[in-house]
Amino acid sequence: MEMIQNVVLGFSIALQPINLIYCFIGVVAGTLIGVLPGIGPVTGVAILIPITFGMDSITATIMLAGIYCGAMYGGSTTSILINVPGESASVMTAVDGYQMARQGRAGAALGMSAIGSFLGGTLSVIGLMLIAPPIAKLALSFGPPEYFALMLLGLATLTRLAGKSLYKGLGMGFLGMLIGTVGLDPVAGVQRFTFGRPDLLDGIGFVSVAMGLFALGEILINLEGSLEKNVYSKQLGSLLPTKEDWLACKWTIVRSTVIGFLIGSLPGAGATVSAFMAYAAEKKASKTPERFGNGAIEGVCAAETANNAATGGALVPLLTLGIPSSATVAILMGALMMYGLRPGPLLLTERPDFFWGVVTSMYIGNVLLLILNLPMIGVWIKILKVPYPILIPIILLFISLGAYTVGGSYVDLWIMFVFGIVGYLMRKFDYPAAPLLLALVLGPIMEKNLKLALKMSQGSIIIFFERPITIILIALIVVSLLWPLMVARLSKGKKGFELPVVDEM
Amino acid sequence: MTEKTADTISGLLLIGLALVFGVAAQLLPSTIAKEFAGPSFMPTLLSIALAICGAGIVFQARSLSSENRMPGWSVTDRAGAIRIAVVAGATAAYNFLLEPLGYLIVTFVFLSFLFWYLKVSWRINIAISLIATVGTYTLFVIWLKVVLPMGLLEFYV
Repeated sequence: MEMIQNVVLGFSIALQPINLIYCFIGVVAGTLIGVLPGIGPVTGVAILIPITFGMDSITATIMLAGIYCGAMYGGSTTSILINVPGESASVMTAVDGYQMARQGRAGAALGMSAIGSFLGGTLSVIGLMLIAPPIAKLALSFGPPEYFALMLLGLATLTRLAGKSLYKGLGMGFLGMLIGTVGLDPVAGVQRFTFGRPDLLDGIGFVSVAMGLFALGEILINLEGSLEKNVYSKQLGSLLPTKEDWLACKWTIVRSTVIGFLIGSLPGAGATVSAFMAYAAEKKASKTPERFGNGAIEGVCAAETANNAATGGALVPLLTLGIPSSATVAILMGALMMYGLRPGPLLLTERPDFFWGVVTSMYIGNVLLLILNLPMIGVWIKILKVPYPILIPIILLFISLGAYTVGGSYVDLWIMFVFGIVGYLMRKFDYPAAPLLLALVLGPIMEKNLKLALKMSQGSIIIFFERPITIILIALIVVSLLWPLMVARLSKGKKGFELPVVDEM
Repeated sequence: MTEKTADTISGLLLIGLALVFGVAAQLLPSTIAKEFAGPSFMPTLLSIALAICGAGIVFQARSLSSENRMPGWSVTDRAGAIRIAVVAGATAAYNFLLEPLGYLIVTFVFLSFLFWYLKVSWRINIAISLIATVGTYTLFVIWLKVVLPMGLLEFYV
C-alpha cells in the first residue's frame, strides 16, 4: 500500500509539465550524446550540469537521469551503423549489430536494440523501486566501519574489472585517492597539498577531472588517426523485428534484464560489464553459439537490454547508500550534492518527493525514448554524419565552459586541461581511467569514515573484524581481489570468458 | 614502443609520483588534538600503496616479450602528433587568454582557428563560430546568469 502511495506521489511530480519537458530534453540530449562517438555518458552528464543551475533539484535530476538513460540508448546507433560504439557499454552491440547492418538488417538491429533497451530500462526501474527502500532501511544501521568497508569493496571490484593488469587498476585507484587528499583534511581541517591556493581548499573538482580524462583525452586520441568516418546507412531494412526475431529474443530480454540490473547495482561494475556478461550468458545459452559475432540478433538484444537495465541498478547504491557504482553515477552524485542533496539512506525518508519523482520519471523517460528513437533514426544518422572537424572544436568549447562554470574558477580549466593530457597518456599506456575518477570521488568519504571508525575504536583496526557486516564485506573484498587466481586454478588452462576493460561507465 | 618499455616507464613514473606525495605528506603539519590518523596518515599510506603498484608494473614488465608492441602507438604518425600538439596548444591558449580578452573574443577566435586548422570551409567556419559563441553566451550568461569573463568588452556588454 505504501509503495502504491509512493508511486502515485512520484507520478504526480514526474508528470508536471516542467518535469516532462526537461525529461524530454534530457532523453533527446542523452541520445545525441550516445550517438556521437567521442562523448560518452560521463562527459555528457558533466557538460550539461551547468544548464541545470537555477533549476529545482528534482527537475534538474530528472533531466540528468534522462541524459544518462538516453546516452545508453543512443550508443547502439553508432555501434550498429559505423561499428564505433558511442560509449563503452555498447561495445558488445557492435559485434553482431554491425554484421547485421552489413547483411542489410540494420533496421531490425536498431529496432530490437530500442525495444530491448526499453524493456531492460523499464524493468530495472521497477527493480529499483522494489529494492531501494529495504536497502535504505538496512543502511540506516551502518556506521563508519561499514561505510568504509563498503567503499573499499566498490574500489576493489572496479580496479579488478578495470583492465588486464591488477597493478594498473589498483594503481589508478590509489592515485585517484591520493589526488582526493588535496584540500582540507576531512576531520582535522588541515590544508594538504594546496600550495596556499584558496581555490584548492575544496579539493580537485572531479567534474573537471572527468571532462579532462574522458572528453579531452578521447578527443586527443581521435586526432591521432583519420578524421573520416564511414556511416553504413545505405539499406536499413524494416525497423520492426520479424516474428522469428521476437521468438529468438524473448528469453534473452528476461535473462539480460536480470543480469544487467544485478551487475549494474554492484559498486564498481556498471553498464559495460553488464553488457559483456549478458552477451556471454546468451552465447552460452544458445543452441547455435557459432552465429554470435556473425549477426545474431540475440547478441544485439542481450547487450542493449543489459546496459539499459544497469542504469536502474546503478542508482540503487547511489540513492540508498550514497555510493556511486560507476563514473557516470559519480558525476550524478556530484550534481546532487551541488543541488544541496545528500545521497544516502536518509534521502528516501527526508526527500521522498525527490526519490519517487526521479525514479518514476525514468519510466516516462524510457517510454519517451522508445517513441522518439524508432521514428527519429533518420535524424540520428544525419547527426552521425557530422564530420569530426566540426564536432571536435564544439566539444572542446563545451567541456571548457563546463569545467569553468561547474568549478567557478580558472583553476578548474587548468585541471581539465592537465587531466586531458593525463587521460591521453593513460590511453596510450593502457591504463584504465574509471578507477581514478571513482577513487577520487570515494577517497575523501572513505578517509572520513576510516578516521571516524578508528576514533570509535580508540585507534584499533579490530573494529573492522568485530562487526558482522564489515566481516562479510571484507571477505567479499578478498574474494574479488583473488577471483582471477581462483578462476585460473579451477579452469586449469581452459580458455574462459574475459572481462572487458572498463574505460567509461 | 614495446609493451615492456611502456610499462617500465609508466611504472617508474608512478613510483616517482608516490615518492613526491610521500615526502610532501611528511611535511604536513600535525594537529594538536590526539588523533589516531592525522592529516599525513592517508597520503602516506596511499603513497606506499601506489609505489608498490608501480613496482609491480615494472616487475611484471620484465617478463614481457620485447617484441610485443603497444597497440596504441602504431597509429601515431607525424601528422597526428602535430594535430594533437596544435589542438592541445589552442586549448591551453584559450585558458590563458580567457580572462584578459574575455569570453566572446577568445571563444570566437578559438573556434575559427580550430575550424580553419581542421580544414572546414570558411563559410561554415565563420557561421558556426559566430552561432556557437553568441548561442553559448546567451544560454549561459543571459539565461542561466553564469558569470563569464568579459575582458576587453567588459564596458560594452
